[in-house]
Amino acid sequence: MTDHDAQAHLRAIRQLMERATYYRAISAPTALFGGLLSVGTAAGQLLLTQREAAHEGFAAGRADAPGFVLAWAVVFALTVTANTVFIWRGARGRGEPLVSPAMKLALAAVAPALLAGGTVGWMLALSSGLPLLPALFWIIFYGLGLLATLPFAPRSLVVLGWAFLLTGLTALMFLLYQGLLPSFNLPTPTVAYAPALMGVTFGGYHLIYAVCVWPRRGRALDAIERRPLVREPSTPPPLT
Amino acid sequence: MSRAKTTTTKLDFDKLDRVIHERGRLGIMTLLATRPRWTFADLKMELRLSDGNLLSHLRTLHGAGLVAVTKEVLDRPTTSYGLTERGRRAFSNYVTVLAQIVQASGGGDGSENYAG
Repeated sequence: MTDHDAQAHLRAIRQLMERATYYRAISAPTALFGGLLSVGTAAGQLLLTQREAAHEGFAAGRADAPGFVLAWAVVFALTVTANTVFIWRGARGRGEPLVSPAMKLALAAVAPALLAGGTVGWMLALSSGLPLLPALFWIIFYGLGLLATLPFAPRSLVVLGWAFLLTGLTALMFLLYQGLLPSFNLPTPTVAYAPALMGVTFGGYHLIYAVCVWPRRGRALDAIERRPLVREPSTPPPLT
Repeated sequence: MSRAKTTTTKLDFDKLDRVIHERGRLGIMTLLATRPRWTFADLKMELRLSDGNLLSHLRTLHGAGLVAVTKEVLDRPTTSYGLTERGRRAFSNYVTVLAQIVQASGGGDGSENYAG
């Protein structure tokens, strides 16, 4: 074995590890796209809600619950589509199928929580007429979905999951403590809570996540790859 | 390369764990270092080894105490593989020796952590 072989082995180890953990469930570009879209949607809803509440009172916010749910369903669909495109491009570049074994594992883990959250949120919107209840439960169930990938997820995803879960539970407990939820007669200002919560969590948390996980190359590996000992083929010898 | 550097590099190569050093087994150890459990099917898909070849390597690693086998019966019998503590240390040491070899020959600071 030569020094060149040692370098090649290290690079092959790195590539294999990256490939094995690449699924990430939420890629950095997806988090950026979804985060920006969420912030924009939340800001738009906030302005609309404030204007309607000022002119027409609380009833305006209550009547808008299905519209609130629909808007965020569109955000979710667009973000999932973007994620699929980003992952597909990456997989095509590596010559791999779109749905890797790791991806299947991740989807199987998150699907139940997302399905439950979507269903519960929609039912709550219809029954209560309040956007706040579906928002709270989406945040909680989304956190649970991310945490379901804990056995094989990168630490960043686990932290994101806990952030969503704790925020949702804290907001829920706060509202219950204030005695606001059971009566469903929320004072007008709280109508703005729903878009604000969605903006902070699905918008802000995803943007922070995107900044934290944006791909960076390790310095040590950069040094290895910039200074090959000998002229070498463009790809390292495969481990198989 | 100086004689001293050549001697150091040769000695470092001797420190490489021969059980792990084989390409198929190195690939298995690398994947097992990325998460706690891998099924046989997932290992096979990632490494593109034949059933017999993969099984042979897993048996070697298991015999050396580097890999643990877990058999569960959920909706169907499932066998999964993971690194033992000894295996994790052995893989970490292997990568460290590789990095030291590269560093001694003039490339990188060898500080990257691959242990997962």
